[in-house]
Parts: sequence; structure tokens; C-alpha cells
Amino acid sequence: MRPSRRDLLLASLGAAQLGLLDRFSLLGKAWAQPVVDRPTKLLTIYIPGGIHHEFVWGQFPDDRLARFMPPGAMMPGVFYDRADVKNLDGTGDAQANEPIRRLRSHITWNQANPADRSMGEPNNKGYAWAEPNYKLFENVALILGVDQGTAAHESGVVASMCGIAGANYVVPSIPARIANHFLSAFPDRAVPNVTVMGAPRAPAVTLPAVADASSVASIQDLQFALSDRRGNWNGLRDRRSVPAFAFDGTPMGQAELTVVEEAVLKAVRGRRGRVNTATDGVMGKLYDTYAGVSKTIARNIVDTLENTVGVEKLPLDIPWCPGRGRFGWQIGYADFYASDATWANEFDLALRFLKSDLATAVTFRMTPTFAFDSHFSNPYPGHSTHLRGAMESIARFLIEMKLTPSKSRADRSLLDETLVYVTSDFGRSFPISGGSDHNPTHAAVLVNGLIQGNRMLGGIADNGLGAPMAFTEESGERSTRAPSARDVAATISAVMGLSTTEAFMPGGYGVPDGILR
Amino acid sequence: MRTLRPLSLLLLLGSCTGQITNSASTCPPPPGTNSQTERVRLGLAPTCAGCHSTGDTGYFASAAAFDSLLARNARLVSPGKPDESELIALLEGRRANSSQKQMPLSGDPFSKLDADGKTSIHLEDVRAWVNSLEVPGVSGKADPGVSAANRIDAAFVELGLRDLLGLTEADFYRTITDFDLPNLEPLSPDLYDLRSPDRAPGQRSYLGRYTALGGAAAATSSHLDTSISTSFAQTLIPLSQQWCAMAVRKPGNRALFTVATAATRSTDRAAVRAQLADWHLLFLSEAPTEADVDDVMNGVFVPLETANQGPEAAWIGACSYFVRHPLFIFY
Repeated sequence: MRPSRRDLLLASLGAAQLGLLDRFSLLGKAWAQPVVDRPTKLLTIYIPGGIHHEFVWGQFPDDRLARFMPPGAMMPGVFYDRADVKNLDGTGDAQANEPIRRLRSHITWNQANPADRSMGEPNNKGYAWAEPNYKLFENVALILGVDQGTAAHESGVVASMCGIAGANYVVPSIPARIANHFLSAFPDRAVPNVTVMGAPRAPAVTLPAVADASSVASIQDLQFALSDRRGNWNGLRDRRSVPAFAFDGTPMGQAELTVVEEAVLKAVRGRRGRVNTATDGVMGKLYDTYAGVSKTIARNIVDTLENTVGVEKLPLDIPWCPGRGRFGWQIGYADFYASDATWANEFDLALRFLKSDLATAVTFRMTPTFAFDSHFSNPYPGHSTHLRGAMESIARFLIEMKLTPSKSRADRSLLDETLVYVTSDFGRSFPISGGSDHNPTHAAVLVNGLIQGNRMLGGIADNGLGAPMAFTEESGERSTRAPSARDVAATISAVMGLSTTEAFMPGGYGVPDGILR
Repeated sequence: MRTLRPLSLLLLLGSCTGQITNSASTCPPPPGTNSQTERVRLGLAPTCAGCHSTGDTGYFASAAAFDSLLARNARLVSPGKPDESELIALLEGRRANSSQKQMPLSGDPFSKLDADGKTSIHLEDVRAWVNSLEVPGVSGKADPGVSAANRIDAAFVELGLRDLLGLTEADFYRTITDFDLPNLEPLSPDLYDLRSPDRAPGQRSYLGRYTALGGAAAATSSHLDTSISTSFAQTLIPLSQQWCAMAVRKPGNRALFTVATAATRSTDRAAVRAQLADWHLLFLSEAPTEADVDDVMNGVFVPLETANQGPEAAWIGACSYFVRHPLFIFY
């Protein structure tokens, strides 16, 4: 995209200047909407390895399917033909040729009896997205043909998590942006940004330290990391109210600190002005991080989290998958079982943080049941079955969220107040190639009750790259082009109500038509 | 007295037992390098690089590393003053009252190895090099746009901090057998054990702690992160308290207690102050001022001793204070 004069202006300005411009409305707020209900929490679900999106979503144009997908007869249940792809809302092929399509998938289950296991693998894995009682499809928007800007794993993780591919984060991660945006609106969210098991990372980079991600491994780990319950606090646990100061010495009222915390904070403040302004910046971040962790520990959030029930609404036995618990499924008659225990840790912990209202942004990495980085020979049956299985379990997790009432609005659900973002490193080369290599062409799954759902935006062009779609650029201009990882990050920001300034990324970005309400 | 932390850890991170020959004088510098600094680097490398090629004491990782981390490091090298340079003191084994009195740490000091013809460069050549140094091109003013602070990484915490505290692997793990293969099992989850997922033998500890500190590991596809993150702080804080408690309670831990003991109370003011001053040097690599010692004594030790009616928590708190101190976190 050719940079506009405004792009060049933005690129030449620092954060302070941008803030001033924004304050005086000199930057266009291209996404400015009337104040409406918006999600105030973000859940990022990361499927590691890079995935074959086409095994779950009907991302190819119907009339060009054979360009990318071998005929279904070659590998029934895995490859598919045009006639096998249907809308998940039960409307068949309605609007299948429109620029924005309904949510479509390779239907591998028996529509008349989804519990029928005679269909062969992947069988009914993925059916949860289409289940008519829960209508999850109504809340799903896919951005297809996303250019990740990389085909390297770590770089792809960074692209998915912040919008710009690279060895490291050059802009704040999406969760950190969202956490930072809602700091003042939800001061009681003691852990604004939390990552289960610390991966993928969700760093604050240039944002305040309080927006940086906490890492928690499990509910059991909470008391080791975020509480003073364990024996290592014996003799050091007592807190007293003392005058609080910012790093620069500005009085900040009172704080409840331990003796060691008070001394350490004083020592960090004492390093101010010793070297240079950049070093002061680093020291200041350490100071704020120490103060933030102290506050979190003092809040005793562990009791709250332990008393919050994670999974409670989802039926104990899923009707279309009986005998496998809430999240489990099986392959064949006994080849493989995924059980509730497979994802119990991340699912439970994420739900506790979201339901207890202690976090704004929660991120977890799905424990893989398969090596989705499937470079090996004939990876398709395994990749397809396990990916659909993972997506089936994610859908049930989302149904739990949809069934959980919001704590703040009686007429809303947890899924209304939480934007869910499902992603991976990148896509994989299309099956017609015979391989399963890294493919920068990716897809983002957004799920929420307050976005325009049941839609797939964009698709795959004949050259295998993303098909053009309509955008409102960050500058306010209209354009038609393929989406990028930047646009996904910008779209999430826009859905959550961030201004274009808050979502700033070098290189340009926009929001596709058809997601924001 | 303590030696400076960078050098003390330099030899803790590996062994320096390579074959050593006194062949420097006949070994020409590689093409394009003929400076005296480069000759010293290549001359010391056979003795020192085994331990000092990675991490924050990786002086021998490259010519640039040697130049920036050692040659221009005023804590180790005083240009023109070899007798005042910690580097020379360590090579000569002159740090008599320190737990790290010499380099290499084990066996004979460099000066003895040199006398025995087992080094690649003579100590006199190193002294002459220090004497010749002028540190050209270094401005006394720091560049305001470049941070001078680099954060310690997870590997340093795992090995460096553990050793500084006088703890060993046996303090954290028991040896077990898994499917006829040797393995390690944490003695308790409350020990906050830390181990790189890449380190063999494998063990059963919680690997996320290493990642949370920003550690890189191929086994978990995590790359090095030395930013100041919440996960780093919320991992280091409880870990420091636990490890310090273990170190304070460890009988005869002379790595930590060089002047006092865990039973020493503030009534023995001189001993406590001397020990705190020693820890200041051990952990922060800076000789403390009286005010620095006062801060720890009056701000940490005495309040904790009073609150707990005994000195143990006071020693643990003071130790944890130093581990969380910005001069320990950054180098």
C-alpha cells in the first residue's frame, strides 16, 4: 500500500506528539462509532504450529475449490468437493457467492443425527460450531487470507500476537493493548493481562508495566506466583500502610507494602538520574512492575479465583458426543481419546479469570493432541481429525461462555463481554500441493456476541494469497485489498473500542467491512 | 572481601580444564587483527573461554564482547593501573579473603599456571596491556538514548544466583530413575526449583518458571526475553525469598555467610553490618557506602528481626532485597 502523507506524519512522530494530536482530534478516528455495547475482555486461544484452516472452514471459493483441494474421493472425510461444503446455519449454500459469506465448512457429520459415528473420521468433530441449540455460528466472524508476513514459527507467533512479524515485539501485544485500554474503566481487574503457562507471550513493550502479562501455570500455581500463602513468605508477609511514591518521587498516597518491598522500591527510586534517560525508563518499568506485583499479591486474588467455578454451564455429557465428558472426543473406536483432562488446566484457569472479573486479557495455548507443524508424509488425516477435534473442544468452551451470564449486565453473556480470538503461527500449504509446509496465508477467528457474526470475510485468490476485501483504513480512506496480520490486530482493537491512535502500528492497517456493529 | 560478581560468576558457569599450552608468543593474530587487546583476548581464551563464552559474563564470545564487557569494564579493568584492576588481582590469586579469590576458580591461579608454562599468554603481557590501556573513544557522558541496563536472564538465575547463594542441585532435587534412565525430581514444589527445559537429565519440575523468567529453550520453543516483564518479577520475587531462606538455613553456608552467621543478631551490630556490606559487594558488584549499609540495616534487617523476634527472617529478607535490587537485576 502506498503510504499517505498522514502515514508519513505518523511515522515521524513520537508517542507524545501522537497523544497531543489525538487529544485535539487532529488524528482521524476512522473507526469511531457511537457508544454501543462492546466487549471489554479479550481471550486469545493459540493453536501452536501453523494449521490447515481449510480442514475446518470453507475458505476457498466454491467454484475454485478444485484449485486448492484434491477431490473428496481421494481421501474421504479429509479432502472434499464443492457439494460437501455447506453453511453452518443450515441454509445450505445461501449467499455462498457473495463477498461476505456465511460461515461454511466441510460437513462431515450426519445432519439428521450428529451423534452418528458411522461417518468415518473426522466424523462430527466441529459440529459444535453448527449446533442449532447454541447457534455459536451466529457469533463467529472469520478473516480469511490474512498475510502473516512470515513463514517462520516464532515470527508468526509475534505476528499473530501483535500484528507485525519479527523476531521480537516492536509494538505492544494485542492483549496488552486491550488490557491497557481498560485499566481506568476496570481498576478492580487485579491481573489485567494474564497468560496461562507464559506462552504465547503478551508483552506490553512500550505500554505501562501494569499492562504486561502475568504468567500463571495452573490454579495450583496461583498461590506460588500470585499469593503470599507459601512458606517462603514466613516472616516477610506482614504489610503496613506507608506513603507511596511514583518512580520520579511524586507522592501517590498510601500503599500496603512489606518491609522488603518498601526497601526495594526505595532502592530502585534511588537509581533514577544516575545514568541517562533511557536507563531511567528501564528502571521506571522495573519500579512499576514491582509495585504492580506487590499490589496483586496484597489483593489476595487467589481466594477469589479458587472460589470461582470454571466450567459449570456446559452439559456434563455432550449429546452428540456421549461418554467423552464436556470437552472430549475420540478417534475411531479406540485409537485416541481427548478427554476433559486434556485441556482442563487452560480451560479452567481462563474461565476462572474471565468469570471472576479479575482479568481483561487472557491468553492460553491449546495443549496440542497432534503435531500441527506436520511436515511429515501424508499428514492430512491426522491433521484434519485433530484440528477439527481441537476446534470442537474450543467451540464447546465458547458455548460455556455463551451460557454464562455476564456479571455486569443481566441481558449479556460472558461471550458478549469477551472477544475471543483464535489463531496460530500461520496457515499451511494447500493440500493440492501434496505438502504441508508453512504458508504465510493465515486466517483469524473472532467470536463474540456483539460483532456481526456468521460471516467469512475474504477468502483465497487463485494465486493462493488472500482475496481482496473492503477496508476502512486507519487514515479513514476506503480501499480494497487483501488483509494482513496488522489488520487483524487493528480489527480486534476496533471491536474493543480503541482509537486509531491506541492501535497505531507502523506500516498501515485497516478494519474490514462487516465485523463492527 | 568479595570479588566482583561478573568475574566470580565467570568461572561458575563452566569448567576451565582445557589443555593449556604456553604458545601465545608464537601464535600470530588472525588476519585483520593485530591489536594488543586482540592478542590478550586470544591469549587468555584457552584458559578462560570455557566458562566465559556465553551469558552476561561471556567475555570471550567475540572480540566485541571482550572489548565491551571486559576491556572497557571499569569494574574489572582500571586503564593504566594493573595493580588496581580486579582482573589482574584475580589472575594473580590475590583475593585472599574472598570466596572467589582467584581465576580460574579451581586448581592453580593463572599466575601459577603461567609460571608452569601452562598458559597461552604471560601474566606480564596482560599487565602490560592493562598498563597501556587508555580506553579511547569512550565519552564520560552516557548516550541518553541508549539504556545502560541489561537484565539478567533465566540461565543466570538458574546457575549464577544458585551458586552465589551457596546452593547446589542437591538442595533442590533427588535422583530418581524413569524407565531405567536417570532423572531428577524436585524435593518439594515449595523449593521454587528452576531448570532449563533443555538441561539433561530431564526432570519433573514445573518448566514454566524458566519461561516466565524469559529463558530461552528449544524444548519449549521459547526464545530469550530479557525485558522487564510482570512474569519475570512475579517469578523472581517468591523465588528469591525461597532460595534465600534455603541459603540462610543451610548449615555452614560460607558462600553466603563470610562474616556473620544466621544466628547473628543486630546486637552484634558490627558483624551484621560487615555481612551486609559483603552481600552488597557479592550481589551488586559495588562496594557499599555507609549509607547503603544503613539502608539495609535499618530498612530491612532491624524491622524484620524485631517483627519476628529473631534474626533468621531478617537475613532472608536482606538477602532477598539484594536479589531484587536493580543493580543485581541489571548489569
